[in-house]
Amino acid sequence: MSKIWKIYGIRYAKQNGRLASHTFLWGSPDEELAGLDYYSWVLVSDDRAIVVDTGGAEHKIKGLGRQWIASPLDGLKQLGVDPSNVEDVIVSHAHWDHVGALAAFPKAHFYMNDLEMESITGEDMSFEVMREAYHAEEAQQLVGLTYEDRLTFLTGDGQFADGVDYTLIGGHSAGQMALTVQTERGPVVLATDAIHLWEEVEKERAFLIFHDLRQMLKGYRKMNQMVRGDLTRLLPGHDPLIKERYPVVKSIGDEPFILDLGAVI
Amino acid sequence: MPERYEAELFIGGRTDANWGMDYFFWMLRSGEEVIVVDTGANSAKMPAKGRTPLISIEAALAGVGVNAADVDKVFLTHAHWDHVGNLDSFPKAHFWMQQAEMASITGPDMTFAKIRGAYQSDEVQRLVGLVYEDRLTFLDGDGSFADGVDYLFMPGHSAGQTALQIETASGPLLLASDAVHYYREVAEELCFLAFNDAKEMLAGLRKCKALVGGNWDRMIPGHDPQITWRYPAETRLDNGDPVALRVDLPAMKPLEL
Repeated sequence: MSKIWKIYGIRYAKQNGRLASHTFLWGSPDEELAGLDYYSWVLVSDDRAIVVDTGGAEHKIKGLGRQWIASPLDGLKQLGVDPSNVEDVIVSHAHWDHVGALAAFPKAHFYMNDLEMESITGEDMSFEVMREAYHAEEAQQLVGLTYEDRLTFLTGDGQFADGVDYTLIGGHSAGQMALTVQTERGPVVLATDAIHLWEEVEKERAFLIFHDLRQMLKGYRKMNQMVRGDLTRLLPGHDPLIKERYPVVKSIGDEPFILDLGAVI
Repeated sequence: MPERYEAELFIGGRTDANWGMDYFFWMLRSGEEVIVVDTGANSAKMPAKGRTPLISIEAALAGVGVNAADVDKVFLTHAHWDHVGNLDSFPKAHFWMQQAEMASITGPDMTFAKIRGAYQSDEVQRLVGLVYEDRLTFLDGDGSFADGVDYLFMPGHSAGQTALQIETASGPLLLASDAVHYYREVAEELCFLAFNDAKEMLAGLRKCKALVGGNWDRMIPGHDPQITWRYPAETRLDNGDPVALRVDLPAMKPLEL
Protein backbone atom coordinates (compact mmCIF):
# COMPACT_ATOMS: atom_id res chain seq x y z
CA MET A 1 0.00 0.00 0.00
CA SER A 2 1.65 3.14 -1.13
CA LYS A 3 1.30 6.57 0.35
CA ILE A 4 -1.81 8.52 -0.73
CA TRP A 5 -1.40 12.09 -1.97
CA LYS A 6 -3.69 14.99 -2.62
CA ILE A 7 -3.12 16.85 -5.89
CA TYR A 8 -3.98 20.53 -5.82
CA GLY A 9 -4.04 22.51 -9.03
CA ILE A 10 -3.48 26.23 -8.54
CA ARG A 11 -5.11 28.05 -11.44
CA TYR A 12 -3.08 31.24 -11.45
CA ALA A 13 -3.87 32.67 -14.90
CA LYS A 14 -6.10 32.24 -17.90
CA GLN A 15 -6.38 33.10 -21.53
CA ASN A 16 -9.94 33.63 -22.71
CA GLY A 17 -10.49 32.37 -26.22
CA ARG A 18 -7.80 31.11 -28.54
CA LEU A 19 -7.94 30.23 -32.19
CA ALA A 20 -7.45 26.61 -33.16
CA SER A 21 -4.88 27.84 -35.66
CA HIS A 22 -2.80 29.11 -32.70
CA THR A 23 -3.28 25.93 -30.73
CA PHE A 24 -3.24 22.86 -32.94
CA LEU A 25 -1.20 21.84 -35.92
CA TRP A 26 -3.46 22.37 -38.97
CA GLY A 27 -5.98 24.10 -36.67
CA SER A 28 -8.51 26.34 -38.45
CA PRO A 29 -8.48 30.13 -37.97
CA ASP A 30 -12.29 29.90 -38.08
CA GLU A 31 -12.49 27.66 -35.01
CA GLU A 32 -12.39 29.49 -31.69
CA LEU A 33 -11.49 27.42 -28.62
CA ALA A 34 -12.40 28.24 -25.03
CA GLY A 35 -8.81 29.24 -24.23
CA LEU A 36 -6.16 28.00 -21.83
CA ASP A 37 -5.85 27.95 -18.07
CA TYR A 38 -2.45 28.14 -16.35
CA TYR A 39 -1.57 25.95 -13.39
CA SER A 40 1.02 25.25 -10.78
CA TRP A 41 0.52 22.04 -8.77
CA VAL A 42 1.32 20.78 -5.32
CA LEU A 43 1.22 17.21 -4.09
CA VAL A 44 0.41 16.98 -0.40
CA SER A 45 0.61 14.03 1.97
CA ASP A 46 0.52 14.01 5.75
CA ASP A 47 4.10 15.08 6.19
CA ARG A 48 5.30 16.42 2.88
CA ALA A 49 4.52 18.89 0.09
CA ILE A 50 6.03 18.54 -3.37
CA VAL A 51 5.59 21.51 -5.68
CA VAL A 52 5.24 20.66 -9.36
CA ASP A 53 6.20 23.68 -11.51
CA THR A 54 6.23 27.19 -10.13
CA GLY A 55 4.00 28.91 -12.65
CA GLY A 56 5.02 31.82 -14.82
CA ALA A 57 6.10 35.27 -13.72
CA GLU A 58 3.21 37.75 -13.39
CA HIS A 59 4.72 40.39 -15.68
CA LYS A 60 5.27 37.80 -18.41
CA ILE A 61 1.74 36.44 -18.12
CA LYS A 62 0.34 39.94 -18.46
CA GLY A 63 2.87 40.96 -21.10
CA LEU A 64 1.80 38.03 -23.25
CA GLY A 65 -1.88 38.95 -23.06
CA ARG A 66 -2.98 36.43 -20.44
CA GLN A 67 -5.05 37.36 -17.40
CA TRP A 68 -3.50 36.96 -13.98
CA ILE A 69 -5.78 35.40 -11.35
CA ALA A 70 -3.46 35.24 -8.32
CA SER A 71 0.05 34.22 -7.45
CA PRO A 72 0.64 30.45 -7.23
CA LEU A 73 2.62 31.30 -4.09
CA ASP A 74 -0.58 32.65 -2.51
CA GLY A 75 -2.28 29.42 -3.49
CA LEU A 76 0.37 27.43 -1.66
CA LYS A 77 0.01 29.60 1.43
CA GLN A 78 -3.77 29.12 1.40
CA LEU A 79 -3.11 25.39 1.44
CA GLY A 80 -0.84 25.80 4.45
CA VAL A 81 2.35 25.35 2.45
CA ASP A 82 5.00 28.03 2.99
CA PRO A 83 7.06 28.42 -0.22
CA SER A 84 10.11 29.46 1.78
CA ASN A 85 10.09 26.07 3.52
CA VAL A 86 9.30 23.85 0.52
CA GLU A 87 12.02 21.24 0.07
CA ASP A 88 11.10 19.64 -3.25
CA VAL A 89 10.20 21.25 -6.56
CA ILE A 90 9.73 19.08 -9.63
CA VAL A 91 10.14 20.95 -12.92
CA SER A 92 8.02 19.03 -15.42
CA HIS A 93 9.62 21.03 -18.22
CA ALA A 94 11.22 24.48 -18.46
CA HIS A 95 8.76 26.55 -20.51
CA TRP A 96 8.38 30.09 -19.21
CA ASP A 97 4.92 29.53 -17.74
CA HIS A 98 6.29 26.74 -15.51
CA VAL A 99 9.60 28.11 -14.18
CA GLY A 100 8.86 31.77 -13.49
CA ALA A 101 9.22 31.68 -9.69
CA LEU A 102 12.25 29.49 -8.99
CA ALA A 103 13.69 32.05 -6.59
CA ALA A 104 10.56 31.93 -4.41
CA PHE A 105 11.73 28.54 -3.09
CA PRO A 106 15.04 29.37 -1.38
CA LYS A 107 15.34 26.09 0.53
CA ALA A 108 14.10 23.82 -2.22
CA HIS A 109 15.96 21.23 -4.18
CA PHE A 110 14.85 21.06 -7.81
CA TYR A 111 14.39 18.05 -10.08
CA MET A 112 14.25 18.05 -13.85
CA ASN A 113 14.92 15.69 -16.73
CA ASP A 114 18.46 15.69 -18.09
CA LEU A 115 17.29 15.93 -21.72
CA GLU A 116 15.36 19.10 -20.92
CA MET A 117 18.48 20.87 -19.65
CA GLU A 118 20.52 19.70 -22.64
CA SER A 119 17.86 21.07 -24.95
CA ILE A 120 17.43 24.47 -23.27
CA THR A 121 21.16 25.21 -23.13
CA GLY A 122 22.23 23.64 -26.40
CA GLU A 123 21.82 23.71 -30.12
CA ASP A 124 18.00 23.44 -29.94
CA MET A 125 17.97 27.02 -28.62
CA SER A 126 19.84 28.30 -31.67
CA PHE A 127 16.57 27.75 -33.58
CA GLU A 128 14.30 30.70 -32.89
CA VAL A 129 11.15 28.66 -33.42
CA MET A 130 12.25 26.14 -30.78
CA ARG A 131 13.33 28.71 -28.24
CA GLU A 132 10.04 30.61 -28.30
CA ALA A 133 8.68 29.16 -25.04
CA TYR A 134 11.99 29.39 -23.13
CA HIS A 135 13.59 32.44 -21.61
CA ALA A 136 17.35 32.91 -21.20
CA GLU A 137 17.21 34.12 -17.60
CA GLU A 138 15.21 31.13 -16.46
CA ALA A 139 17.49 28.66 -18.23
CA GLN A 140 20.40 30.50 -16.60
CA GLN A 141 18.79 30.21 -13.16
CA LEU A 142 18.44 26.46 -13.64
CA VAL A 143 22.14 26.26 -14.57
CA GLY A 144 22.97 28.29 -11.47
CA LEU A 145 20.98 25.88 -9.29
CA THR A 146 23.03 23.02 -10.70
CA TYR A 147 26.27 24.72 -9.61
CA GLU A 148 24.75 25.33 -6.15
CA ASP A 149 24.07 21.58 -5.76
CA ARG A 150 20.36 22.36 -5.68
CA LEU A 151 19.29 20.57 -8.84
CA THR A 152 19.15 16.85 -9.49
CA PHE A 153 18.73 15.45 -12.98
CA LEU A 154 16.20 12.71 -13.53
CA THR A 155 16.85 10.27 -16.36
CA GLY A 156 13.98 8.41 -18.01
CA ASP A 157 11.42 6.92 -15.64
CA GLY A 158 11.59 6.28 -11.92
CA GLN A 159 10.12 6.70 -8.47
CA PHE A 160 10.31 10.18 -7.02
CA ALA A 161 8.69 9.38 -3.70
CA ASP A 162 6.43 6.70 -2.24
CA GLY A 163 3.32 7.08 -4.41
CA VAL A 164 4.87 9.48 -6.92
CA ASP A 165 6.49 8.15 -10.09
CA TYR A 166 7.84 10.13 -13.05
CA THR A 167 7.74 9.13 -16.69
CA LEU A 168 9.72 10.74 -19.47
CA ILE A 169 7.21 11.60 -22.21
CA GLY A 170 9.19 14.12 -24.28
CA GLY A 171 7.58 15.46 -27.44
CA HIS A 172 6.15 18.78 -26.29
CA SER A 173 9.61 19.57 -24.93
CA ALA A 174 12.70 17.37 -24.99
CA GLY A 175 12.45 16.42 -21.34
CA GLN A 176 8.73 16.76 -20.67
CA MET A 177 7.77 14.50 -17.76
CA ALA A 178 4.44 13.22 -16.51
CA LEU A 179 3.82 12.14 -12.90
CA THR A 180 1.78 9.21 -11.72
CA VAL A 181 0.40 10.02 -8.28
CA GLN A 182 -1.44 7.66 -5.94
CA THR A 183 -4.58 9.43 -4.71
CA GLU A 184 -7.73 8.52 -2.84
CA ARG A 185 -9.34 7.70 -6.17
CA GLY A 186 -6.41 5.58 -7.29
CA PRO A 187 -3.51 6.39 -9.61
CA VAL A 188 -3.82 9.70 -11.43
CA VAL A 189 -1.48 10.81 -14.21
CA LEU A 190 -0.55 14.47 -13.92
CA ALA A 191 0.45 15.03 -17.52
CA THR A 192 1.27 18.71 -17.08
CA ASP A 193 2.02 19.84 -20.63
CA ALA A 194 2.54 16.41 -22.14
CA ILE A 195 -1.17 17.14 -22.75
CA HIS A 196 -2.58 20.67 -22.72
CA LEU A 197 -6.18 19.86 -23.57
CA TRP A 198 -8.06 16.56 -23.32
CA GLU A 199 -8.95 16.67 -26.98
CA GLU A 200 -5.31 16.16 -27.87
CA VAL A 201 -5.74 12.61 -26.58
CA GLU A 202 -9.40 12.16 -27.50
CA LYS A 203 -8.95 13.25 -31.13
CA GLU A 204 -5.16 13.04 -31.48
CA ARG A 205 -5.04 16.74 -32.27
CA ALA A 206 -1.39 17.80 -32.21
CA PHE A 207 -0.56 20.81 -30.03
CA LEU A 208 1.22 23.51 -32.02
CA ILE A 209 4.28 23.86 -29.77
CA PHE A 210 6.54 20.84 -29.82
CA HIS A 211 10.11 19.64 -29.79
CA ASP A 212 9.39 16.37 -31.57
CA LEU A 213 5.98 15.91 -33.19
CA ARG A 214 6.10 12.13 -33.43
CA GLN A 215 7.25 11.74 -29.85
CA MET A 216 4.45 14.06 -28.69
CA LEU A 217 1.81 12.03 -30.54
CA LYS A 218 3.21 8.77 -29.19
CA GLY A 219 3.05 10.35 -25.75
CA TYR A 220 -0.68 10.98 -26.12
CA ARG A 221 -1.26 7.28 -26.77
CA LYS A 222 1.14 6.18 -24.06
CA MET A 223 -0.62 8.27 -21.40
CA ASN A 224 -4.00 7.09 -22.61
CA GLN A 225 -2.78 3.53 -22.04
CA MET A 226 -1.35 4.47 -18.64
CA VAL A 227 -4.89 5.39 -17.48
CA ARG A 228 -6.51 2.56 -19.51
CA GLY A 229 -8.63 5.06 -21.39
CA ASP A 230 -10.12 6.63 -18.24
CA LEU A 231 -9.44 10.26 -19.02
CA THR A 232 -10.71 11.39 -15.62
CA ARG A 233 -7.42 9.95 -14.34
CA LEU A 234 -5.39 11.95 -16.85
CA LEU A 235 -4.85 15.59 -15.94
CA PRO A 236 -3.87 17.94 -18.78
CA GLY A 237 -1.81 21.06 -18.09
CA HIS A 238 -4.00 23.83 -19.49
CA ASP A 239 -7.56 22.61 -20.14
CA PRO A 240 -10.34 25.08 -19.14
CA LEU A 241 -12.57 22.04 -18.52
CA ILE A 242 -10.51 21.06 -15.47
CA LYS A 243 -12.27 23.64 -13.35
CA GLU A 244 -15.65 22.24 -14.46
CA ARG A 245 -14.80 18.63 -13.68
CA TYR A 246 -13.01 18.74 -10.33
CA PRO A 247 -13.98 20.22 -6.96
CA VAL A 248 -13.05 23.84 -6.40
CA VAL A 249 -11.38 24.36 -3.01
CA LYS A 250 -10.90 28.13 -3.20
CA SER A 251 -12.13 30.80 -5.55
CA ILE A 252 -11.12 34.40 -6.06
CA GLY A 253 -14.32 36.22 -6.91
CA ASP A 254 -15.85 34.18 -9.73
CA GLU A 255 -12.57 32.56 -10.65
CA PRO A 256 -11.84 29.05 -9.42
CA PHE A 257 -8.34 29.28 -7.94
CA ILE A 258 -7.49 26.01 -6.17
CA LEU A 259 -8.84 22.66 -7.37
CA ASP A 260 -8.71 19.26 -5.72
CA LEU A 261 -7.59 17.05 -8.60
CA GLY A 262 -7.19 13.84 -6.67
CA ALA A 263 -10.63 13.88 -5.07
CA VAL A 264 -13.18 11.16 -5.65
CA ILE A 265 -15.61 12.58 -8.20
CA MET B 1 58.88 31.23 -11.65
CA PRO B 2 55.37 30.96 -10.17
CA GLU B 3 54.95 27.72 -8.32
CA ARG B 4 52.99 24.81 -9.68
CA TYR B 5 54.33 21.47 -8.59
CA GLU B 6 54.27 18.31 -10.64
CA ALA B 7 52.19 16.55 -7.97
CA GLU B 8 49.46 19.17 -8.47
CA LEU B 9 49.51 18.63 -12.23
CA PHE B 10 49.81 14.93 -12.98
CA ILE B 11 48.81 11.62 -11.46
CA GLY B 12 51.91 10.28 -9.74
CA GLY B 13 53.74 13.61 -10.04
CA ARG B 14 56.66 14.54 -7.77
CA THR B 15 56.04 16.96 -4.93
CA ASP B 16 59.44 18.66 -5.35
CA ALA B 17 59.39 19.45 -9.08
CA ASN B 18 58.10 22.97 -9.83
CA TRP B 19 56.77 23.21 -13.39
CA GLY B 20 55.16 26.63 -13.17
CA MET B 21 52.15 27.40 -15.34
CA ASP B 22 51.52 30.18 -17.85
CA TYR B 23 48.07 31.26 -19.02
CA PHE B 24 47.36 32.14 -22.63
CA PHE B 25 44.70 33.10 -25.03
CA TRP B 26 45.41 33.25 -28.72
CA MET B 27 44.74 35.44 -31.72
CA LEU B 28 44.98 34.31 -35.34
CA ARG B 29 45.50 36.97 -37.96
CA SER B 30 45.57 36.75 -41.74
CA GLY B 31 45.58 40.12 -43.46
CA GLU B 32 42.58 41.96 -42.02
CA GLU B 33 40.93 38.84 -40.65
CA VAL B 34 41.20 38.26 -36.91
CA ILE B 35 40.04 35.22 -34.95
CA VAL B 36 40.39 35.27 -31.18
CA VAL B 37 40.79 31.84 -29.59
CA ASP B 38 39.55 31.77 -25.98
CA THR B 39 39.25 34.86 -23.82
CA GLY B 40 41.60 34.18 -20.92
CA ALA B 41 40.72 34.23 -17.24
CA ASN B 42 38.86 37.01 -15.52
CA SER B 43 41.56 39.05 -13.78
CA ALA B 44 39.36 39.58 -10.73
CA LYS B 45 39.10 35.83 -10.20
CA MET B 46 42.79 35.03 -10.51
CA PRO B 47 44.22 36.17 -7.14
CA ALA B 48 41.74 34.06 -5.16
CA LYS B 49 42.93 31.08 -7.17
CA GLY B 50 46.58 31.89 -6.51
CA ARG B 51 47.31 33.14 -10.02
CA THR B 52 48.85 36.47 -10.96
CA PRO B 53 47.20 38.44 -13.75
CA LEU B 54 49.79 40.13 -15.98
CA ILE B 55 47.69 42.24 -18.34
CA SER B 56 44.07 42.66 -19.37
CA ILE B 57 43.13 40.92 -22.58
CA GLU B 58 41.97 44.24 -24.04
CA ALA B 59 45.44 45.71 -23.45
CA ALA B 60 47.15 42.58 -24.74
CA LEU B 61 45.17 42.77 -27.98
CA ALA B 62 45.61 46.52 -28.28
CA GLY B 63 49.37 45.93 -28.11
CA VAL B 64 49.18 44.08 -31.42
CA GLY B 65 46.74 46.53 -32.99
CA VAL B 66 43.45 44.75 -32.32
CA ASN B 67 40.49 46.43 -30.62
CA ALA B 68 38.63 43.77 -28.62
CA ALA B 69 35.39 45.67 -29.08
CA ASP B 70 35.70 45.21 -32.86
CA VAL B 71 36.51 41.49 -32.86
CA ASP B 72 33.79 39.56 -34.66
CA LYS B 73 34.91 35.93 -34.20
CA VAL B 74 35.80 34.18 -30.95
CA PHE B 75 36.50 30.45 -30.99
CA LEU B 76 36.22 28.74 -27.59
CA THR B 77 38.34 25.59 -27.20
CA HIS B 78 36.58 24.67 -23.95
CA ALA B 79 34.80 26.49 -21.12
CA HIS B 80 37.21 26.26 -18.17
CA TRP B 81 37.37 29.46 -16.14
CA ASP B 82 40.81 30.43 -17.45
CA HIS B 83 39.49 30.38 -21.04
CA VAL B 84 36.06 32.03 -20.85
CA GLY B 85 36.60 34.73 -18.24
CA ASN B 86 36.15 37.73 -20.52
CA LEU B 87 33.26 36.92 -22.85
CA ASP B 88 31.82 40.41 -22.50
CA SER B 89 35.06 42.02 -23.62
CA PHE B 90 33.91 41.06 -27.12
CA PRO B 91 30.51 42.77 -27.44
CA LYS B 92 30.32 42.41 -31.22
CA ALA B 93 31.68 38.89 -31.46
CA HIS B 94 29.99 35.70 -32.47
CA PHE B 95 31.20 32.68 -30.52
CA TRP B 96 31.77 29.04 -31.44
CA MET B 97 32.04 26.03 -29.14
CA GLN B 98 31.39 22.29 -29.15
CA GLN B 99 27.88 21.18 -28.24
CA ALA B 100 29.40 18.37 -26.16
CA GLU B 101 31.07 21.02 -24.00
CA MET B 102 27.84 22.88 -23.39
CA ALA B 103 25.94 19.67 -22.62
CA SER B 104 28.59 18.82 -20.04
CA ILE B 105 28.78 22.21 -18.34
CA THR B 106 25.01 22.61 -17.96
CA GLY B 107 24.12 19.00 -17.28
CA PRO B 108 24.61 16.06 -14.91
CA ASP B 109 28.44 16.34 -15.11
CA MET B 110 28.20 19.54 -13.07
CA THR B 111 26.50 17.81 -10.16
CA PHE B 112 29.94 16.31 -9.39
CA ALA B 113 31.99 18.88 -7.49
CA LYS B 114 35.24 17.31 -8.74
CA ILE B 115 34.23 17.75 -12.38
CA ARG B 116 32.74 21.19 -11.89
CA GLY B 117 35.86 22.61 -10.21
CA ALA B 118 37.26 24.30 -13.31
CA TYR B 119 33.95 25.88 -14.37
CA GLN B 120 32.29 28.99 -13.01
CA SER B 121 28.52 29.24 -12.79
CA ASP B 122 28.37 32.88 -13.90
CA GLU B 123 30.47 32.21 -17.00
CA VAL B 124 28.43 29.18 -17.99
CA GLN B 125 25.23 31.20 -17.55
CA ARG B 126 26.73 33.89 -19.78
CA LEU B 127 27.39 31.27 -22.48
CA VAL B 128 23.76 30.15 -22.25
CA GLY B 129 22.74 33.79 -22.62
CA LEU B 130 24.80 34.07 -25.81
CA VAL B 131 22.86 31.13 -27.28
CA TYR B 132 19.56 32.95 -26.67
CA GLU B 133 21.06 36.10 -28.22
CA ASP B 134 21.90 34.18 -31.43
CA ARG B 135 25.58 34.86 -30.77
CA LEU B 136 26.83 31.32 -30.28
CA THR B 137 27.14 28.56 -32.83
CA PHE B 138 27.64 24.96 -31.81
CA LEU B 139 30.24 22.73 -33.41
CA ASP B 140 29.92 18.96 -33.61
CA GLY B 141 33.23 17.12 -33.93
CA ASP B 142 35.83 18.10 -36.52
CA GLY B 143 35.53 20.62 -39.34
CA SER B 144 36.84 23.66 -41.15
CA PHE B 145 36.43 26.94 -39.30
CA ALA B 146 38.01 29.23 -41.88
CA ASP B 147 40.33 28.88 -44.84
CA GLY B 148 43.49 27.52 -43.23
CA VAL B 149 41.90 26.92 -39.82
CA ASP B 150 40.51 23.48 -39.01
CA TYR B 151 39.14 22.36 -35.64
CA LEU B 152 39.69 18.93 -34.16
CA PHE B 153 37.48 17.46 -31.44
CA MET B 154 39.82 16.29 -28.69
CA PRO B 155 37.63 15.45 -25.67
CA GLY B 156 39.00 14.18 -22.38
CA HIS B 157 40.41 17.15 -20.49
CA SER B 158 36.90 18.53 -20.91
CA ALA B 159 33.95 16.92 -22.66
CA GLY B 160 34.22 19.24 -25.65
CA GLN B 161 37.91 20.13 -25.69
CA THR B 162 38.90 21.23 -29.18
CA ALA B 163 42.28 21.85 -30.83
CA LEU B 164 42.98 23.91 -33.93
CA GLN B 165 45.16 23.05 -36.92
CA ILE B 166 46.34 26.30 -38.49
CA GLU B 167 48.22 26.96 -41.72
CA THR B 168 51.11 29.36 -41.09
CA ALA B 169 53.97 30.71 -43.21
CA SER B 170 56.18 28.02 -41.69
CA GLY B 171 53.70 25.17 -42.19
CA PRO B 172 50.81 23.64 -40.25
CA LEU B 173 50.69 24.36 -36.54
CA LEU B 174 48.63 22.40 -33.99
CA LEU B 175 47.24 24.81 -31.42
CA ALA B 176 46.45 22.13 -28.87
CA SER B 177 44.95 24.49 -26.30
CA ASP B 178 44.38 22.32 -23.22
CA ALA B 179 44.22 19.02 -25.04
CA VAL B 180 47.91 19.29 -24.10
CA HIS B 181 49.07 21.57 -21.28
CA TYR B 182 52.82 20.88 -21.40
CA TYR B 183 55.20 19.39 -23.99
CA ARG B 184 56.36 16.76 -21.49
CA GLU B 185 52.75 15.75 -20.84
CA VAL B 186 52.39 14.56 -24.42
CA ALA B 187 55.96 13.26 -24.80
CA GLU B 188 55.69 11.09 -21.66
CA GLU B 189 51.91 10.49 -21.72
CA LEU B 190 51.39 12.05 -18.32
CA CYS B 191 47.85 12.09 -16.97
CA PHE B 192 46.80 15.66 -16.15
CA LEU B 193 44.82 15.92 -12.93
CA ALA B 194 41.83 17.84 -14.27
CA PHE B 195 39.77 15.78 -16.66
CA ASN B 196 36.29 14.78 -17.72
CA ASP B 197 37.45 11.41 -19.06
CA ALA B 198 41.03 10.30 -18.41
CA LYS B 199 41.19 7.61 -21.08
CA GLU B 200 39.90 9.95 -23.76
CA MET B 201 42.37 12.60 -22.58
CA LEU B 202 45.30 10.18 -22.91
CA ALA B 203 44.07 9.08 -26.35
CA GLY B 204 44.00 12.77 -27.28
CA LEU B 205 47.68 13.11 -26.33
CA ARG B 206 48.54 10.33 -28.77
CA LYS B 207 46.39 11.87 -31.46
CA CYS B 208 48.19 15.20 -31.03
CA LYS B 209 51.54 13.47 -31.10
CA ALA B 210 50.64 11.69 -34.34
CA LEU B 211 49.36 14.92 -35.90
CA VAL B 212 52.75 16.61 -35.51
CA GLY B 213 54.71 13.49 -36.46
CA GLY B 214 57.03 13.85 -33.49
CA ASN B 215 58.03 17.40 -34.44
CA TRP B 216 57.18 19.20 -31.19
CA ASP B 217 57.79 22.58 -32.80
CA ARG B 218 54.56 22.03 -34.78
CA MET B 219 52.53 21.98 -31.53
CA ILE B 220 51.56 24.72 -29.07
CA PRO B 221 50.40 23.35 -25.71
CA GLY B 222 48.02 25.41 -23.61
CA HIS B 223 50.02 26.25 -20.48
CA ASP B 224 53.72 25.47 -20.90
CA PRO B 225 56.06 28.28 -19.67
CA GLN B 226 58.54 27.15 -22.34
CA ILE B 227 56.27 28.86 -24.89
CA THR B 228 57.00 32.16 -23.19
CA TRP B 229 60.76 32.04 -23.61
CA ARG B 230 61.08 29.96 -26.78
CA TYR B 231 59.12 32.23 -29.13
CA PRO B 232 59.78 35.82 -30.19
CA ALA B 233 57.83 38.41 -28.20
CA GLU B 234 56.15 41.24 -30.10
CA THR B 235 55.07 43.05 -26.97
CA ARG B 236 56.33 43.05 -23.38
CA LEU B 237 55.33 44.43 -19.99
CA ASP B 238 57.38 47.31 -18.59
CA ASN B 239 59.34 44.77 -16.54
CA GLY B 240 60.30 42.88 -19.67
CA ASP B 241 57.84 39.99 -19.23
CA PRO B 242 56.76 38.83 -22.70
CA VAL B 243 53.06 39.26 -23.57
CA ALA B 244 52.32 38.69 -27.27
CA LEU B 245 54.34 35.76 -28.57
CA ARG B 246 54.63 34.86 -32.24
CA VAL B 247 54.19 31.13 -31.94
CA ASP B 248 53.94 30.77 -35.72
CA LEU B 249 57.59 31.82 -36.14
CA PRO B 250 60.50 29.40 -35.67
CA ALA B 251 61.39 28.79 -32.03
CA MET B 252 64.46 30.66 -30.81
CA LYS B 253 65.62 28.07 -28.31
CA PRO B 254 65.59 24.28 -28.19
CA LEU B 255 62.81 22.51 -26.35
CA GLU B 256 63.57 21.01 -22.94
CA LEU B 257 61.94 17.64 -22.43
